[in-house]
Amino acid sequence: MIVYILTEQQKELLIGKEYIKDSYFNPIQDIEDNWIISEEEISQCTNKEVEWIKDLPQIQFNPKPPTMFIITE
Amino acid sequence: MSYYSLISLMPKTPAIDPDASAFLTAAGITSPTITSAINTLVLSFKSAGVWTKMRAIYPLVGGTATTHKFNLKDPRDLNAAYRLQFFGGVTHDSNGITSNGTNAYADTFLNDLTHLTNTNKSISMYIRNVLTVGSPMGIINSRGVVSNRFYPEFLGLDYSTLGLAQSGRSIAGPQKGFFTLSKSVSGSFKYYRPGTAAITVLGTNQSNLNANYYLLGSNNMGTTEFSLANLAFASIQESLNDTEEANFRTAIIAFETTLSRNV
Repeated sequence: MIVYILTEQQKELLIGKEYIKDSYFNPIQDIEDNWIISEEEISQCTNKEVEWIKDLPQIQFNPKPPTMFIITE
Repeated sequence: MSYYSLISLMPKTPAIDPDASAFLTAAGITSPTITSAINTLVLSFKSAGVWTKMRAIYPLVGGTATTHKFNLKDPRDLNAAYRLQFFGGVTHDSNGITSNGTNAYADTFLNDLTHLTNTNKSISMYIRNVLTVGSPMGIINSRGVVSNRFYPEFLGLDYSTLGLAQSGRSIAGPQKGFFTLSKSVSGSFKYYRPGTAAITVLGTNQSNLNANYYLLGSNNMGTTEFSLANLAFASIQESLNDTEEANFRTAIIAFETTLSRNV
């Protein structure tokens, strides 16, 4: 899966901003602690304020492993 | 023929329930099919006696973030009305909301501790796809000591749990369709799944969590656990008994069938 890599400063600029009405950016960190946003946020974005996201470099998404807590009572 | 006789012969538009009408107006929905489906849903909930138990009802109709965000029970555009806020890559279409599995979820703003009672709560969802990892709805605390979430499958077991420590159980019935977790007694919850009898799960009772319920992922209280879920309905309410759950289920299945998105 392709995602788009952000600098720390770019991540801060996107937090709390809508990419389309009623949908907000959600930068997360991959397994190497890179900040990334998804293809959907880029492709659906109509927010002129953040047009620079269309030029972000792509990388393959490597997620942090899922956490699963199993409690035995 | 008199004016009044002519009027009486004109076809009558069926009256729309005021709660259904308020939701449709807020969401800006005019489709006759959706209007009829929402109206029937509200009337079914009312006749089944579950309407007053509902805190948040997300019909997920209309195909956009702006139509999907509204709570049918209180369609004000406010966090206090448990209106959804979407984050990350959510896809909105006529089948509801779908997560990208990477960073997408919706915050309900409905807090388990401040808005629900420990032995009087339930959560429901209509999920259109089978998940083999990830939670489509709920909250879990650090290390899973308290779980209030659906988790349909992880390594061959179903970890859906409400108000107890997270524990696994055998998968039964189809892994898609309508699901409810309901807690009305300390130290146990009831799990209703499609195509199989409800089960009661016992354990040490756990306090409610001071965190909001999420859709498409679970609120892990500091982080979010994402899924690839496609949800066509979700709700949070007081606990339901067997009869109420059966009537609720019937209403939801009819609703999804009317909208041609039943699975």
